[in-house]
Amino acid sequence: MASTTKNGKLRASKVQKLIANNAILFIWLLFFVVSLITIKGFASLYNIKSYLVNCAVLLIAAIGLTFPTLNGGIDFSMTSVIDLVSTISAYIMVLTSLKGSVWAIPVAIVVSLAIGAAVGAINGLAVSRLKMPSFVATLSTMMIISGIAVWFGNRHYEKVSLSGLPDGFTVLNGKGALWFLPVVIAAGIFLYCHWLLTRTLFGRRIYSVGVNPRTSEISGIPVKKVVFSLSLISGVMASMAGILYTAKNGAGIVTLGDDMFINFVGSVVIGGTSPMGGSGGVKQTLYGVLFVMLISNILNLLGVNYTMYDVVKGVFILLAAGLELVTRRMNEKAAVLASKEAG
Amino acid sequence: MTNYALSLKDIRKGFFGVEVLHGINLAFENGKVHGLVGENGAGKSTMMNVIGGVFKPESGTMEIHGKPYEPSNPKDATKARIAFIHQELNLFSNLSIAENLYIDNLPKMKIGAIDYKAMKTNAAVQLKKFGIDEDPATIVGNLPMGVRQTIEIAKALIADAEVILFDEPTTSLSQKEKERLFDNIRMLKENNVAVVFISHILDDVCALCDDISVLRDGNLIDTRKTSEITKDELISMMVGRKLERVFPTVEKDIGDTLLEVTDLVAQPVVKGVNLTVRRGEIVGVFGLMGAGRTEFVRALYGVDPITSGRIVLDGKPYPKPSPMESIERGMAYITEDRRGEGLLMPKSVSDNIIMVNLNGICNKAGAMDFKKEDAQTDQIISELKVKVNDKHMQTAANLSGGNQQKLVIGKWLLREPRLLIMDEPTRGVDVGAKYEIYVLIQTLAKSGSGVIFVSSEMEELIGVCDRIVVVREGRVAGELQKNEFDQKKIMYYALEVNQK
Amino acid sequence: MSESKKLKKKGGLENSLVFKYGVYFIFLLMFIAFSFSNKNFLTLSNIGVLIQQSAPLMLGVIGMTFVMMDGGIDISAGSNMYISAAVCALLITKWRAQGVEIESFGIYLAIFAIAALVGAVIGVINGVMIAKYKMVPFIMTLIMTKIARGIGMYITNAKLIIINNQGFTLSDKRLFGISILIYIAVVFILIFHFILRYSRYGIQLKAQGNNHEAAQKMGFNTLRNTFVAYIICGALCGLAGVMAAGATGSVASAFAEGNEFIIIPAAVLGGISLFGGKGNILPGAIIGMLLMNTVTNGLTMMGATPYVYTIVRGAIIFLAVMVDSMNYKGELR
Repeated sequence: MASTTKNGKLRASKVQKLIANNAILFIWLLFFVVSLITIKGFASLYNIKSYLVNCAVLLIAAIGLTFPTLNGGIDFSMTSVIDLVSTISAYIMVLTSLKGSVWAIPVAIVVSLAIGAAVGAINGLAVSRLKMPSFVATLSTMMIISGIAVWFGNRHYEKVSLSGLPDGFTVLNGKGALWFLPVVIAAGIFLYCHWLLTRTLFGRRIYSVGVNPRTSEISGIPVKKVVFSLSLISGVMASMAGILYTAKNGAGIVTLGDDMFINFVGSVVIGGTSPMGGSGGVKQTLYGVLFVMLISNILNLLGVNYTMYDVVKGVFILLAAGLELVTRRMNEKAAVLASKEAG
Repeated sequence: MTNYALSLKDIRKGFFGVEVLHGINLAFENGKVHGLVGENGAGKSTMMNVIGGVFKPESGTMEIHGKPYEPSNPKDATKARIAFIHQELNLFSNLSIAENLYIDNLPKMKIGAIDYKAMKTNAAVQLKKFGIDEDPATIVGNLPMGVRQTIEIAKALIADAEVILFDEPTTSLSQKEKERLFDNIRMLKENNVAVVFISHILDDVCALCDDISVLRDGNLIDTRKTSEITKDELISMMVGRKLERVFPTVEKDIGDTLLEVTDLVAQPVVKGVNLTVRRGEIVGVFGLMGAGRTEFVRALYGVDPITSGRIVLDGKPYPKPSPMESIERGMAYITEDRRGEGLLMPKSVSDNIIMVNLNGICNKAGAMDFKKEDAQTDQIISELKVKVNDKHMQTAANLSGGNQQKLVIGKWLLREPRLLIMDEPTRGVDVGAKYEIYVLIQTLAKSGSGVIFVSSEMEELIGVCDRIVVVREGRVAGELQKNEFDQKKIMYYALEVNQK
Repeated sequence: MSESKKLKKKGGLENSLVFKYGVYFIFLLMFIAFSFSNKNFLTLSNIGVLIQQSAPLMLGVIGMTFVMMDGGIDISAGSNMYISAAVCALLITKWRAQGVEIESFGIYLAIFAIAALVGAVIGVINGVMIAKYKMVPFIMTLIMTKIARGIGMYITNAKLIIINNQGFTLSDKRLFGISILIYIAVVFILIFHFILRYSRYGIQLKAQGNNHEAAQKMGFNTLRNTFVAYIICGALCGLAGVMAAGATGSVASAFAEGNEFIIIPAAVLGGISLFGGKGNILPGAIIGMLLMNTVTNGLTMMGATPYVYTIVRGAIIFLAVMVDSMNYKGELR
């Protein structure tokens, strides 16, 4: 009967959708299990713990990047925010009169968040009001902010890094008895952002704008405000990641974030959020983070030359982006087909 | 047997197993203008795409002067001396007139380089022939639509086209530009070009064409000499039925003033429009394309900026319209471009319906209430009889044109708007769904909402509205009450500024 | 009155011109500041040095013009320069070890050809993914940046390779007192300006950058045109790489890092829009590149510390694109 076949067809595609949406997780699981069995040193408690901590801190940054990506944009400036946050927060905690006081850490954190918000706001204004493409706006802010970080480091640091951070801060380094703290923080941020995107008005507006800003505007969505907020979020997330990366390294490092971008963009793209906007989310980014960090871990344990890390990651990103394009094209074709049938 | 410039014999075309063209037989003669009329969805675009080499027909043949014509891509059509003047012109707004004219036919110098000087000189000659007083170095992006269209025609002739098909060419033209187009077409006739004129404006078709063919639902109904047929017969053939029972009627009261617009100016198109709408009133807005109807409602709703003017809605002044505030004040705007501005095509039916009422289903913290969302979307789907099986799995792109339009209208209904602005709400919609939309409009009016119904279909305005306002060149040219409705009068207003 | 005459009267283009000249005005201020801070800035010899230093990247900006004209971008320019130079450096080392006389016209020609080839290969990969598989250009070329540099570092073991002591230098070669680098640049400028402006390919590229659908409807092979643009850019970047290596004398693992962020703003400054369909090589891209390099040169003369360069370049990019975006009517992303 026509209706059952139609329902049958729809049910099949629901299962298809489930597999497609979580494909990366399955692939990751496969790699993970194989690594457990075959790679020496992978299954140790130490390795698993450090893997989780690495995932946690990367997740915060990658979640941040997910937001502008949902609108088909990008944020190159996150790495420089991490640079500046690391440089200035360490300075505050070690070289100012606040050293040793109970205010050192809170002030450092607040200032860091303010930096992230400020950079995010500038990017947001550039994209939403000045109509600049995000890749070039965030590129220029990246150059300016990383330059400022270097200038600051030149002025105030004796070497390229500044250690001696207070214990209350380095407790976040993902080691020792409280190793799980970064993981807990990341989990909290993840849950909040997931809720934000899937269950709130704001989240729905983000997806709507990412799919079609003109329709969204006419339907009463404040498009410019939404676009602005995406950059703001990535800026603030970058600063949070910067704080945790600094704690992890136990020092303020002027060039801390410089090579991290490929991990951020890799997590987002491999995870399945479309670089064209309108689909994806932090759940996908979580999968991407797990995958990217697993690859790094595997390459590391296998002793692969560090120069090839980026190459390997790059190839995976290419595959993921290509796959996303192909499935998108297939979905569009299926839609045309279905519209003919629906008459 | 006349040697036809282009003939179609029994052309059949289908998509995904559904046949869309059912054996089309047409023949176009040199030096004649052949009109093609038909509703949306009649198969005109598909047929043009078959001629143009975009689609391959399932069966049937095409011939040029008796020789087989089997294009596999648009380039083949061009080589066969067939040219199309579509609504979206194939011009490059960053290039000059000369460059646009000759980009497919570049004059070269001896060393193989493009000869810009020769291009400019040749272009100047062509422009003169068409009566265009423009410098060939002008960048096309700076020219108005009418001039651009003429350049497109000149381009076709330069490519030595023998058959030129015009697809709804007058929609973006001013009256002067239309007259120039008609002059150009007559010139093409004299040059032995076979002209095919596709338009829904029957007045134009009858004025210009020697023969008229009517397409309906993928069938060629008939081809007749213009001199041997009346407009009423044409319409009957197009619609397949007499016009009597097309429009619903409803008993209702018309209340006091809901909207009062005084001297609305929105550069560059809207020059000064006055409009009032009363509660329960359906006000039709008619005008030819370029008249400024869409620009007016967009400014009123707040999508485009207002230069000057006064809007009073519900007794309260409304100084700076914006979409968000318009929605707050009870307005709704159904755009003419449903795919680009009315829907989120890849998103589900449910997502589309709830779009305007997102903050109606969330609590203070911003969290969404999915139960409410389900209830509201189900309500709309049943109210409007939207044909959909799974509102979460099916996307807007999966639906037919008529159902898509119902989605667009439906999403606005959730806000219970007091003033509805609808721009071409039945465009691209099948006849059955059109009727349902008319019923919907009447029901809304009966419940006390005011409706601004913008359309280029005079028949539906006459059938549905209480009052028709005619816009021309950015101003109101005339207004007719229900008892004064007359097609000729309306058209006269649309074409002339002052009646008298 | 014709529309073109109406426009000339209204001066409708004036708005953007004012802002554009505003950007150049800032440069004027900068030059004045440079001249004051170092009296050697305005000397003929410094200007000569400036032009000479611009030569390698001049090829880069020419290549970038083609890609940007199509509405695309190539962020892998710097890494392209690096890997091309690295391959050449490795070959030079290898050949010298085999006893080949490097300092000969034939070998130099071969080196250049190989550099162009390596660059072209990168361009081919970029072009295929972008034109055929419809990948977003800045993401594809961003990935390519990482991959190219990674491979380059892998094959060189991230070691510094010195080539000017092995017989390959371009910095000391002069003809009538003018460096050979300038001659090479001029030749390529002329050739590619000719291609962009006077070939059918060039005008089609400009057209499709403006209206992709119309170009396809007219039967232009838009895929091929895009593909070729990336190959041109790739090959030219490869050549730029070997030119730069010949000028500085060595190839380090950070060679040409970030050069795309000199080339792209140079193009935008020169009037080539990021959105496609606008701009030219002569005089546009050339002036843009000279401006960017003057800034670099001036900063060096001022004794600026390294971070100042990135800050100033970042600011220039921001301003230049801000102006470019003023007339943009598309979507905000």
